[in-house]
Amino acid sequence: MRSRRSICSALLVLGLWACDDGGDATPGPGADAGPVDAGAADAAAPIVDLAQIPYDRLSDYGFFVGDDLAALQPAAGVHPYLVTAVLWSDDAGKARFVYLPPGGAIEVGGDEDWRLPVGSVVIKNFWFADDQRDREGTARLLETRLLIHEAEGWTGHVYVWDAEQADAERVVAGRRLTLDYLDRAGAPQQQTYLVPNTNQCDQCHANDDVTGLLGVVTRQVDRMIDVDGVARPQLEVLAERGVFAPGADFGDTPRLVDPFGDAPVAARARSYLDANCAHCHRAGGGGGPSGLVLRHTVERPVDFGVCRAPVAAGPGAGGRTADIVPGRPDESILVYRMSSTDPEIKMPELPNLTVDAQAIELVRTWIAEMAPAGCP
Amino acid sequence: MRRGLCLSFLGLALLGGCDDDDDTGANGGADTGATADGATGDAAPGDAAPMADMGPDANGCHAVVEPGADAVTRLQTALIEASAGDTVCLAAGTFELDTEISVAVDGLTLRGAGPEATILDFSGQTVGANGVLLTGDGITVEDFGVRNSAGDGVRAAGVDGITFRRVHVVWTTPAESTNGAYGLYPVESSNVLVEECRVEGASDAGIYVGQSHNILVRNNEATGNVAGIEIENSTDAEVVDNHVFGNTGGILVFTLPQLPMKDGMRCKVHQNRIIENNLPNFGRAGSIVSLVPGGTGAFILAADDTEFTGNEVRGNETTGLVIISYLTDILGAYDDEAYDPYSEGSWVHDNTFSDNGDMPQGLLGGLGLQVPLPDILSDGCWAEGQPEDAARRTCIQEDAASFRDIDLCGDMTASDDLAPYDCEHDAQSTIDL
Repeated sequence: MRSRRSICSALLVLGLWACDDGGDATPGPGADAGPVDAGAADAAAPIVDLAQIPYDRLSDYGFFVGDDLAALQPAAGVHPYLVTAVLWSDDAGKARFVYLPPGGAIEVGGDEDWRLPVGSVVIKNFWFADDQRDREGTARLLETRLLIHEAEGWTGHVYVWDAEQADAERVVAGRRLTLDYLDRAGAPQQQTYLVPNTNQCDQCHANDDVTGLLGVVTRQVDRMIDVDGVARPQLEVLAERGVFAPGADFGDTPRLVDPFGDAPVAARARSYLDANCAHCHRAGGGGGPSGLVLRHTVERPVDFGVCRAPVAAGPGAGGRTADIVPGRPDESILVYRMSSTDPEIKMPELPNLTVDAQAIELVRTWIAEMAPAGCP
Repeated sequence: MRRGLCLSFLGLALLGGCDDDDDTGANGGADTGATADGATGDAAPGDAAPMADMGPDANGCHAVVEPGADAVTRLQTALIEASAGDTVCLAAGTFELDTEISVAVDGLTLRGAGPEATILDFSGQTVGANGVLLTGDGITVEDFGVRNSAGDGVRAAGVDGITFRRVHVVWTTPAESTNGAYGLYPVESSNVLVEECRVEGASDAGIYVGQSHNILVRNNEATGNVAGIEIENSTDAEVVDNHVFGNTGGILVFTLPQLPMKDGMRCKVHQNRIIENNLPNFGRAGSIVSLVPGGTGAFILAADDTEFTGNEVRGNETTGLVIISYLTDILGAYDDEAYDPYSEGSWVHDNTFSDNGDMPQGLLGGLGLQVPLPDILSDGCWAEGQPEDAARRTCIQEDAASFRDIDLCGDMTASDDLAPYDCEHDAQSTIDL
């Protein structure tokens, strides 16, 4: 059996910034090797034959080069990227890449108007650290999710890594994995991790029946990254790699902030909710019928939950009378639902089995600081 | 070989005689990289392998899924790998499902062997807010039962065309607030047909149609729910020939504030039996329906142009029919300038009311109103100009029913004079789906 490796460190060694470890600080500086540029691995270009996909195995695509697939060393046309506000996925870390077919570039016309050419693939690798005290240490790759841009639109496919970490195999119906790890206190823990079924891709990614990208938007991608110890704007680095078509207009929608960085608490909470909730809680999303809209740009307090009565929350309301009661996090449905693992109550509905304690604290603090306290 | 045998059994009589539970699907270990558990779909050793390039079998099934080991994987795989318009059949028996099942293929029919023969049992559900989630257009679900889903029974979200037929959704713990909220739950959908279904035990509404358009709810049975049938912020609905008994409230036609779809209107409620809906409200506080008084036969709240006719409304201890506006003192504040809180244009006529109002519960029990309450109760609250506008007046034409206007927006001078309500509107259209 191949030994476990550190997912992030391996990438960093090559100056690749694809890896976030679940919300902590930006990865530290890598070692000496320079960045892999778009032409470095042209001997092994990916193959995405739209008449043949989805392939049975992740390796069939050729997104990653070398003998050790789990090292996630990107082939030509496979570009790493980071987002600002990370979607909570049961504390899994992620390594993100976007593949553009030869000659392809992204036309950008605004915050959410990123038009990737047909044949593009957005690749998200999920991994879990063996020891939560050392999240940049050894880890197990769990699954790799692909969104493939076919002629008719985006389709989602899911690949589950084998125990040997040699390859990942396509799974249609979802799966439950058992994670064994040491928690932050060093105690052995076991946790179930859910791999979604492919229908469930659309529960987050579809809006009005159209499947789209969530992380590949200006407000998430326009951030600083660390390349070989140098802080640089990610858009600039991606542009140098030829990712964008000429004339890219990234729009002026306010960018998200790191929910756990040093921005004011309201901006951090709104960014967290945008990244974790607004794919459903917006018009056309699964949470649209509630009328609660958690986009960070929503200005009217009642629309993002302040003193907003629940309508069809059922038991999800937990006896509380508003999504957010200023000054009173314990009376706020938002906190109640973020804090639950009961499938009928918890939010988001999918896919987590554990709560994001750090985010709950953030949202609690935000609500606690709202004034005046209470609702009419 | 084994699959062929199963199909033979099914072909004979849908007896469900084929368990096939020796499937070595090995779902015992949730983990891990082992590839032998059939989860990849194309390697499933069991029953749900799609019949690629084959037409349907003699029963019209493009795939047949049996209960037994690893049912989630086999069922979900069949539903994902189906083509548009396919029929996926569920054999008789109980499917033990620990996660939400989703259907996204347009035009798919999911068909069981009968609403009490094929049971999707979600008693062990740990994942998903619904038993079954439908997101494809033109789906039909029919002839199976759903038990004890963690949240809603079957939800159709944002679809055009959905048929629920002979689906029985039951929570087996009566009147338990931890039961799921909605049994059958089409929302933000159009062309919705719910027929010959049964829902029991929902902690909110048994059959709940929300923010939808063009709706026919007929020949269903709803009992033991907080609300039997609820039509909310929806337009052009027909609720006909249903048997609604033993709920907290029987049939609710609501228009609520702060929802994307603002105007609930044109609901025709007719020929229903609305009997003895006297269950004390067991909804969890915070939801609007938790405010519905037990003993309410029917409830028109802020909805416009509702026609209520030909119904038998009997033995509802609070009142037979309430027509009320959204009163913030009772129902809570809202912030929605586009919302019209008044019920306008209702026409109540030619129903049969009997034995209602003897023992009012909840809000209406606490207003100090003279008991018995009447068959029909109006809050007497009118929008500006409503009483003078023939199209917006509330019209009640009942020969035998008792009536009271409790003047909630005035000085609560109650009146049983129906003369101000003696008018009629055009009949609402029936819905053809």
